[in-house]
Amino acid sequence: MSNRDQNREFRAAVREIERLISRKLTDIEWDRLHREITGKGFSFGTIVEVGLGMFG
Amino acid sequence: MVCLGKRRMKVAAPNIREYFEPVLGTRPWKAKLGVGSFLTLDFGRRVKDRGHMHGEWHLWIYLSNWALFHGDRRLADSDSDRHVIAVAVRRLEETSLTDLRFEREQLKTTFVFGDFRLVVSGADYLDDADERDYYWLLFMPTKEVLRVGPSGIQVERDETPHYA
Repeated sequence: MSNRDQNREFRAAVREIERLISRKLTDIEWDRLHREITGKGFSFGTIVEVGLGMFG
Repeated sequence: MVCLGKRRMKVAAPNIREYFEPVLGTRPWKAKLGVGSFLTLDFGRRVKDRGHMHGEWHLWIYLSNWALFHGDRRLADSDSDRHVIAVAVRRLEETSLTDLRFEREQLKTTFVFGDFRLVVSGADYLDDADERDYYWLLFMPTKEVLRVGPSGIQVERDETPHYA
């Protein structure tokens, strides 16, 4: 997956988390999610699961 | 404007450089590749937040096209191989942030680290970019977040600092 694809995937995962928890993430929450998943090579689904675990 | 615990501060044409004054002349103690081509640079006091160390001043290069130069030599850009990026960006830990240039018309930012220049502009790979697709964000110990994105420059204050 290209860097661009990974960027788009993270962005889409944030949107999906927000849809599932019915609110926008704050900048800080966004940043925390990024730190949490950096270097782990998570799939879209796993990023969403991690986000729901953190903010859901 | 109030939104989920955040207060959007209306700042008329903020001078971006002013926000960086406290870290100008200091080195990022961590300059790291994140997801995709995202970069994070940490300045100032080390703080721990949920098991992760980061700086009181935390710069996140987010949905953007960027290029890193050393003099005239292009070391890496946002489409480079991830290993190349990881090695290149760590070189920013060697030197201080010495200047910041902002071209308001193009919303292009150049972060100057001595002989290194990190040039950041908007992402050209989003078909449906919206106002939240920031090019970069600066988290500050003052609880403010400075953001540059498709809608221009925004400064927001959050209820809690990012290391609370």
